[in-house]
Amino acid sequence: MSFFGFDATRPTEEYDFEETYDGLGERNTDALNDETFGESQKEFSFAQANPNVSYAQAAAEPQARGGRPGEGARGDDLQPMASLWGGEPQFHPPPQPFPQFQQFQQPQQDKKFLSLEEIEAQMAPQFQQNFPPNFNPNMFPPPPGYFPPGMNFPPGFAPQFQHPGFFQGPPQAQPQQVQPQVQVQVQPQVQAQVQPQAQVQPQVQVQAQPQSQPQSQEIEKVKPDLSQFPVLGDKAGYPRGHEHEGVDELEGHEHARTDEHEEHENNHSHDHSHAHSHAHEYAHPDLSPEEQSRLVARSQKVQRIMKYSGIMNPRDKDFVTRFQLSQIVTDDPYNEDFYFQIYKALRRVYNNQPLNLIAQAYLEHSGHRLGGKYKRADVALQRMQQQVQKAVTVARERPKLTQFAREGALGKISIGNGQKPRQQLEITQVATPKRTDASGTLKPVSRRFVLGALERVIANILALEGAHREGKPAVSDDLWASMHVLDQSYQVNPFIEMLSYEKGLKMFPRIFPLLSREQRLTVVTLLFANLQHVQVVARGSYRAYADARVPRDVLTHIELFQVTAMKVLLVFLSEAKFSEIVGLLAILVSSNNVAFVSTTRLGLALITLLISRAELIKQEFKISATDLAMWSSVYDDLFGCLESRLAWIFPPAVTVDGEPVFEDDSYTWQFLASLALSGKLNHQRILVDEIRDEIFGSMSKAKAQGGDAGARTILNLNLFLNVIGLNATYDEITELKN
Amino acid sequence: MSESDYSAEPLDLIKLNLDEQVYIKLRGAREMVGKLQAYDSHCNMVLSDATETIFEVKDNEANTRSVSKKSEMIFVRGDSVILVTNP
Amino acid sequence: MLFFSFFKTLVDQEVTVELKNDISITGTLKSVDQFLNLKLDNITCNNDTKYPHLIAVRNLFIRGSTVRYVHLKKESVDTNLLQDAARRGML
Repeated sequence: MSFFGFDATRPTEEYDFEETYDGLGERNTDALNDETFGESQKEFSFAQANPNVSYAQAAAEPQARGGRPGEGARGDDLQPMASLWGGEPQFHPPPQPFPQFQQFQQPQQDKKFLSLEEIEAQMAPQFQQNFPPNFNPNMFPPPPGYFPPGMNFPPGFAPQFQHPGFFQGPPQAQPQQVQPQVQVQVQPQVQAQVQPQAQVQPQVQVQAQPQSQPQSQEIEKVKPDLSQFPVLGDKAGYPRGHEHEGVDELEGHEHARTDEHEEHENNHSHDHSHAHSHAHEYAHPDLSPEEQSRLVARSQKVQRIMKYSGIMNPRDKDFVTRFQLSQIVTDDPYNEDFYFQIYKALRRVYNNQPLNLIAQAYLEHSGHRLGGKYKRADVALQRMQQQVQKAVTVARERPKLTQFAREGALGKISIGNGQKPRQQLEITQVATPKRTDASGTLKPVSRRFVLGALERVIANILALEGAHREGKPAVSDDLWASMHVLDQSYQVNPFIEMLSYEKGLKMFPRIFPLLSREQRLTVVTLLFANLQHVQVVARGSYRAYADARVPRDVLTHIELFQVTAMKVLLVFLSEAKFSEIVGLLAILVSSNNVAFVSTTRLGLALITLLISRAELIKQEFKISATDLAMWSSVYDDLFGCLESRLAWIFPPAVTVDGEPVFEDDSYTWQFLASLALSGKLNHQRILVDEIRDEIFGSMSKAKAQGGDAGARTILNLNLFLNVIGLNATYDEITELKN
Repeated sequence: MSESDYSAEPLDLIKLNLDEQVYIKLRGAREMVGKLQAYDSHCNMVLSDATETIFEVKDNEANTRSVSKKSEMIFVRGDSVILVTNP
Repeated sequence: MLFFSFFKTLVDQEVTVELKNDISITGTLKSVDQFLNLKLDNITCNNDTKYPHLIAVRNLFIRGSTVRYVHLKKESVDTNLLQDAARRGML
């Protein structure tokens, strides 16, 4: 052993063993001595009282190691319990002067250092066997003074000992708790639990600590504790006197009970053993006091119940049950009521021959083999069967739960089986707007959906362009479908929504060449029909903003629109027929709030586009009377919408930091110009009337601006004024002279 | 949403954001906002008009301060990317 | 492949590479490979404090995985084409 610096080479007998005890045993060194050892400062002699007993040898016995008696030191576990099978009990009477306890020692089980489990395992076979002749069921619980007051074990202990053949285990061990010395001297007979219990008991007395059940500790401690061996003082000082008394009382008590139990021994169910094992689950040292008391109360209750268990055997119980059932079932209970019949007969019979009738009635109703109409058992059984059938039909007709859910205190409890597993999720089907053709709830349009659709469109565009590049013919149906132009099932047309994204506007010019003329017309029609819903149009209205200024990014977006979509529209409209243009204008007027649209840059621009185009065609080409009529009616409609609101098309003057900001409003003048051009005289008069302020305002604005800006302003003004035959300068308006 | 969900796989969600403003969270307590011009399966990306924000913790204080840098066109390597979303 | 092609279009342009160790290097992009490793010529360092002194270095090779950002000029890039290429998944 060359570890820990242990020097094995040093001589071993160098020191005096006795000297190592110097200083030990001095009372003064330990401050807690008085507490520990109590008032009586006895001299505890640790010398062996019984020199004949070798503790080392006893410890080497197989029981000490958890084996069985009869085993050698080799620990052969396959040997049956010799005592049980009538083997030679190795019983050595205690030489000690505690004769009254001898009877409480187990005669058969001598060397029993068994663990709790082993003892319980023995319980079951022992139940069915006859009691060994020496069996002493008079086990008594440790006396009350043994345990701390809070535990109150003795009443709880009582049931344990009612069961004969329970085992010669712990209950027997418990009486032997009181005589640790005795058992110690006869170690071969002592059970495993005795020792630990023995050591526990004195500890209880000595230390006065609240102790948990000794049995709980017995499991842990199997090794005998030398401190409790025989001579702990003499008999007089031994604090066990009162225990004996308590023991005697209970002993007599137990005797009587045991006899009854012996009769019913065969009918005991296994439950008793289980109950006992449960009863052993007394408070563990780890639990809090209230839990311990709870456990105690519970065990007491259990034992109270168990006290009267086993009186009836199953056959008896069954008989009673069936009889009760038959009484419930029967149609006429009095028919079967033996007492009632006899009583009736008795009363009747007061007149006639009493005894005869009584005897007859008795015999009639009894079920014994000598007489009786019918066998009671059969009838009862029959009635019970009927009752069962009734119950089944009632249950069947009871309305079943529609869903596998029951109400519990905490909510629904659902039970599943193999056929219908428990539903893990409860998904309620909210009425979602279904896709309908005509009028139904429309689907909402989300950003993700629009972007996804847009990407699909772009992918289609790329595919088509690629195909065209390579000269392969390709059909634009996929593209058309992906554009959702004709899709009415959404709250806002998806294609219109696509135009609110920059990449949507960018793809607009690329898409047109890929479409047929009709498709293009459809697209344009769609655009005009939903003009006010086009985001870039709507956001271009100064009315949407608190400061009446359109933000920069919106203006950028508007420019992008003008560069992309407007160009395309221009090209398209330049090739459009008159009727189509007029029709588009009519759609615009009818489908939109024209007054609102007129406040937006793009709206005005588009209307200007239409009107000017129509006018151009009208002047250049010959158009039919019907078309003309249509045109003038549409114009009137348009004018009617704008009338008295014409001044609104001008965004209000904006001042930033006190300086007036002049934004480009040429689009308004262009619009007014085209409107005036297409209108009749009265139209023009109304126009001038309404925007008179604006006209003069522009002139002063031009004067304020000065230079190029001013000139531009005047130019814009004259766009309009020239149409109606006027001309403006910085200072005045005069007639237009050509 | 019925048949409208275009994205078949997560990277397609990034495709929806092409040409749109995106917010990217990067390793090293960095964030990037910019217009997404290109991406690939590694999440390498090219952004235009981007602003990078770096968050730093002041020693022994609960405060963080941030530093911003702008780039007109930037390539971001995908192994730094934590997440991509709309700002 | 997309960004490999993208960087190929940027050869002979001046770029600024910001590495993951916070070194920023400006130089002319001369070469790129499929791992986006870069070769820069005529480099200058942007911040004196953060880089180990590369004063003596003219040309260098950068492993692609060490790059955090590459700063470019807007005019070097055709955004529409780039977007379409990204949509296709390759250039």
